[in-house]
Amino acid sequence: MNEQILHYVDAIFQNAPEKRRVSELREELLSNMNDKYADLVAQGREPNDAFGEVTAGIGDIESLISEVSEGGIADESGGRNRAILLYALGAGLVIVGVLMFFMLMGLGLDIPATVLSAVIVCLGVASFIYGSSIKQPVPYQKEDDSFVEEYKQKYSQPSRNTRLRGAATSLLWVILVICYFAISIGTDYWEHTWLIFLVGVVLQQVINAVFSDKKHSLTSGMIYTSAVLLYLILSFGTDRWDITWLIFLAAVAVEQGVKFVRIWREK
Amino acid sequence: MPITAELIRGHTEAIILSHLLSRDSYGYEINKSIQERSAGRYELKEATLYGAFRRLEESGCIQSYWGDEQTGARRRYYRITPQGRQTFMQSREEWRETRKLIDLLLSAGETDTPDTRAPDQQHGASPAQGGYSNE
Repeated sequence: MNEQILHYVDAIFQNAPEKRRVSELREELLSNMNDKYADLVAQGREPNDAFGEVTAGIGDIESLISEVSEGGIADESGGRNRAILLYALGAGLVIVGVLMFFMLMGLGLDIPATVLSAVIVCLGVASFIYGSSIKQPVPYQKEDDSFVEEYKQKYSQPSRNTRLRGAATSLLWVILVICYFAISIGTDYWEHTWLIFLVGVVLQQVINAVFSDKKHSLTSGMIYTSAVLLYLILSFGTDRWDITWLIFLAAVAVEQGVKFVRIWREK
Repeated sequence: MPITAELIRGHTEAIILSHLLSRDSYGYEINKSIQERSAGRYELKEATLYGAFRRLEESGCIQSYWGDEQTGARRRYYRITPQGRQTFMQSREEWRETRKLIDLLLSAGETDTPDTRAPDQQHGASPAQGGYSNE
C-alpha cells in the first residue's frame, strides 16, 4: 500500500458522505491505483513519475461520488407521495361517511343513513388499503457487512404479511364500528351490542395469526378466542356478569404461561 | 484523437463486457488490457470505468464481488451474467451494422463504387475478436 496514494484518495473522499457505496468506491479506487502504481514501478518508472501518471488517470471522481451517494432514492419517492395522497383521501372519506351517518340519522332516515355511510366508509378504507399496498419504504442501505446492519436492513422492510395485516385490521375495525351503530340503533340493545368489540378482539387475533411470520402467535389467538367464547357462554348462561370477566385475567395468565414454556424449551 | 476518444466512449460498456467474456476481472486489469489491445492509444479514466461498472451492474449485465487479498486494499472483481452476454452480442451486432453503414456513406466521394468496397471491408474486419481490434 502506497502512503502517497492513500493520502491522495483520502483527500478526494474527505467530504464524501459516509455511505456503504461510497466507501466501496474508495476501496476499489485505492486498490486499482495501487495495482497500477506497482505495475509502473515494476516496468522501471521512477516512483514520482508513476504517482503522477496514476493520479492523472483518475478523471472526474467527485461527480461519480455524488452520483453514487444519491443513487436509488429518487425513484422511491413517487410511490410514497401517492400513498400519502391515498391515505388523506381515505381519512377524508371515513370522516365524511361518519358525519353523513349522523346527519341522516338526525333526519330520521335510518336505512339510507346506514347504507350510504357504509358505502362511503368502505371506499375510504379501500383507499387506505390501496395506499398501503403501493407504499414501498426506502430499503435501508447497509453501512458495512456486520450482522447489526444486516438486521437493520431486514427489519426496516416490512414484509408483505405485515402490510396485509395492517390492511385487514383497518378494514375489520371500520366494519365493526358500522355494525355496532347499525345493530345498536336498529335493536336499541346498547347494553349488549358493545360485545361486538369483543368479537373484534378475537377476529383481530385471527388476522394476526393468519398474517404472522411466526407460528406461536397462533396459540395466543386460540387462547383469547376461547376466552371470549367462554365469557359469552358463561355470562349469558349464569348471568353472573360481575365475576365472569375474570376469565380474561385467566386467559392472560395462560398465555404468559405458554410463552414462558416456549422460551424455556428453546433454551 | 479527441474525436476518436469521444466516439469510443459511447462503447465503453460493450468494451468492458468483451473483456469479461472469458473470465472475471477487476478495474485495473481491464483498463490495462484495453491499453494493450489499443497499442497504448486508448485508456479509460478511473471515473469513466467505475461509472460504467455501476450502470452495468444496475442493469444486471455484471455482478461484483470482493477478492480476498491479504495485503493492501481488496480488489473488486466483476463477473458477466447471461444477460450481459446477450447485451454484448447485441451491441457488437449494432456496431458492425453501424460501421458498414458509415463505411458506405464515407466512401461516396471515392472513385470505386460503394458496392464493390463494402464486402471487402467486411471481410477484413471479421477476424477481430470482440470486434474492437487495433486496425
